Amino acid sequence: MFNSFQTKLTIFFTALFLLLQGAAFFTVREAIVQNIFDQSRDQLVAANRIFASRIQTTVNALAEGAQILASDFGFRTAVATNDKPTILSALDNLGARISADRVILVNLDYQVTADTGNPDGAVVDFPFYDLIDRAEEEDRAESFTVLDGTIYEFVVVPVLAPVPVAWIAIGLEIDGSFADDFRNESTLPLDVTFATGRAEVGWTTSVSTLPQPAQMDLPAALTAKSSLLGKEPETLVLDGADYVTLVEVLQTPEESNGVTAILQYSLDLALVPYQPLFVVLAALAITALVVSLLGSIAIARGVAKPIQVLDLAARRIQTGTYTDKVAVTQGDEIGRLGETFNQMMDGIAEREARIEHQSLHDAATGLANRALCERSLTEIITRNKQDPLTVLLIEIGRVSEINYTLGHETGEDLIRVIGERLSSMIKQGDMVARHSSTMFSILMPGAGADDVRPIVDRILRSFEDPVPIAGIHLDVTAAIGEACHPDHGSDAKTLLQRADTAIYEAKASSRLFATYDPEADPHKPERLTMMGELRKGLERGEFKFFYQPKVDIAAQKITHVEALVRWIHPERGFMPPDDFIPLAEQTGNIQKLTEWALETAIAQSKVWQDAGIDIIVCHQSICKRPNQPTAS
Amino acid sequence: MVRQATSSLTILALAAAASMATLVIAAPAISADLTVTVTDKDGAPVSNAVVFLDSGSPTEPGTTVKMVQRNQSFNPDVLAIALGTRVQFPNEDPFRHHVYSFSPAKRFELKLYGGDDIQEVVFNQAGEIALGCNIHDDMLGYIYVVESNYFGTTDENGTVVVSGLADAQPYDAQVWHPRLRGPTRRTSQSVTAGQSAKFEIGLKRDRRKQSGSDFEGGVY
Repeated sequence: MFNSFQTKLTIFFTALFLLLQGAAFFTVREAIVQNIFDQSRDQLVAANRIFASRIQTTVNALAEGAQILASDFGFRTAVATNDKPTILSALDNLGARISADRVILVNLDYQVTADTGNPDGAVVDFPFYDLIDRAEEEDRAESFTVLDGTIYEFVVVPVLAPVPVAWIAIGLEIDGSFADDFRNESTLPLDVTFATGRAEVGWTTSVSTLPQPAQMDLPAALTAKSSLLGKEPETLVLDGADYVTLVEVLQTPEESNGVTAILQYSLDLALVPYQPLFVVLAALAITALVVSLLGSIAIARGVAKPIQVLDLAARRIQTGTYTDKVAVTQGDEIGRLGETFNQMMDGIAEREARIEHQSLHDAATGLANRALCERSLTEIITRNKQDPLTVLLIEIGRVSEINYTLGHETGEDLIRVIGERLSSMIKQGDMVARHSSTMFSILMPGAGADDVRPIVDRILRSFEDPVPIAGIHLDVTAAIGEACHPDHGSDAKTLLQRADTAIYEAKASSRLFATYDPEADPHKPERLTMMGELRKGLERGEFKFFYQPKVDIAAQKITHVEALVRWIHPERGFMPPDDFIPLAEQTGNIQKLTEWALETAIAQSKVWQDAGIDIIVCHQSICKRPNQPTAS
Repeated sequence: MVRQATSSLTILALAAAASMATLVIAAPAISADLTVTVTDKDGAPVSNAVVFLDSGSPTEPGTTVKMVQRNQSFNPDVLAIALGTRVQFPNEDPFRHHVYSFSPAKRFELKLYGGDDIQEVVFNQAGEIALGCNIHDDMLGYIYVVESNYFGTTDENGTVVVSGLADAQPYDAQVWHPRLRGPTRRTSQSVTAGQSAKFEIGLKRDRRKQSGSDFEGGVY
């Protein structure tokens, strides 16, 4: 199926198009993904700043509230008098007022004296000494911590009276709602996770906005990708989805478990707004593919169709048909190829016509040759099976003699002149052809034997005058054999052969004209058989002489005997010489017969002479043309 | 912490002080001085450090000294007194103050008073008393009550001279400073009367950022 040029071209263009479209599509997609990734990185860094500033704002609010409480004289009095119920209620009140999740009062010995998260608890040490020490140094300290398994951002401020008499630790719980709020404020679909733990021991997810399966994957993924702790956003694969991830290890007191904030953007979610773009791109690609497919088919057809036309034309030329021109009308290279093709066809046709003419005509006379004569004859006979037709064969005598003495050119000139004469004598529809070097043929369709007599006479008469060639008047003889359709044959070869046979008769006759005679035809089968029998008969002694005496009346004496040959045929019986002499003459057996006759006659003379009988033996029938060369 | 400080203070018998920098004592016949210089870890002089010696002598209560409120600050910053001393709190500012203390050694409150009001407090327990003003958060002053007849407060050169000591007598000298590191904010050292002694103490940062003049730079 890939053999057709059209298919190849279509496949090539379609494949090329698919390749380009695919490359373009994936490049665009890659660029978008890269862009989203970069954007996500920037957004993450920004989100991290927002997170820090949000925490700071919250911390500031907490600190401010705590400081207000810490400087309240009543509160300070309660602290100074260690009035626990009052302190606790004041801490509760503070927590409610500024939306703190936990408020703890710590004395100067780092002991928890009141805790809103554990109101009835016994006195325990506040675990984060470091925070207190920093608060003493800096009036305020804040840090993420893990207390009772919960992540808090704690702010510690002193209760000043006017020197520190206690510490208020006020905490914001980093819980699900904090994460959700943070997520909801982000422009991109941000995921926020807070995990406890450290790089050395691994992480535990505390709160997260991630889907549950991704949450499950997160600790292991974090452990596996320690490079993330370098704060550069990177891609993390959770539950099969890509997340651009920023890990912020938050500052915690030494005594606390570590706290890590993980900010993430799901690339898949980020790609969602681009889905319509991809759909449009895909639709464009498909549309363009169809258009290009149709286009390439059309172009391929435009190129392939004329080539198919040319291909067909070439096949026609192969079979010898030159008449159907190539109909290629394009103005391009293929159109010019079509024109060249047509010119080539004309050229070939012309040359072939010339070659055919040469093959069917005689160069010297310009007349049809034997092949054309035969073909025409066949055509005429085929066309009109019943119509009479006469074939004349004219043998020009003495041609070889003229060739020999005056040269071939003169011979050919002679033949040409004779050809012209013959052509001038026939009527329209008849045909003169050069049959052989010394023979012409004339076809006369529609003419019976009687119809051709006048022409035959005219031809014969024309040979009575000498033919002037190169200043010499040449005497030329001609013998004419005639064969008629359908009497003497029903095909061209037979008719011509029989006309040829008739020439022998003609030569023998005084008129130099003969119609084919089946009886005289040496080609008759029974005659051919008789030839073989004649040779065998000579060997078998079937021939005999009958001597006819010649008497000298005055001398009363037999002076001569005429030896008359007779063939005593074993089957046919007594055969007169007329039945086999002409045949022997035509077939060349006359030589053998002559040898036999001379031998036999001379042998008989010897016998007679030895016997004292003086008789001369004559053989009339054989001696008649002793020097005649054997015919045919 | 508090208990520890109190017990150590009770061992000391302190005399009432006459002035901020020096202490005049009804001394025995033979009298010797002790010069104490207090510096921080960098060698800078530390002012407002209270130096007192374990005298073993009974105190003489009944004197009256002043802790003035001027320019929205306590003056002096640190007032060292002997146990049982009466302290007046004159207000020299054109507005009122509300001086208080939540310190265990003496808890009191002088509710809003002006220049015309005479405010007095008697300190009967040794130890530090941090003074604040309820309406002026930045005001911070200290009264340090000693149970001793020999005590003083370092001047801007970090020096204090304690007089009226028995010559060549060894003493246990103690230095207290509000910003001294450690839970009691106190340190001790054996000294010999008639000689000079040096204390090098580690200080915490000054909590008050404001221009309380003397407090600036971390050095009293």
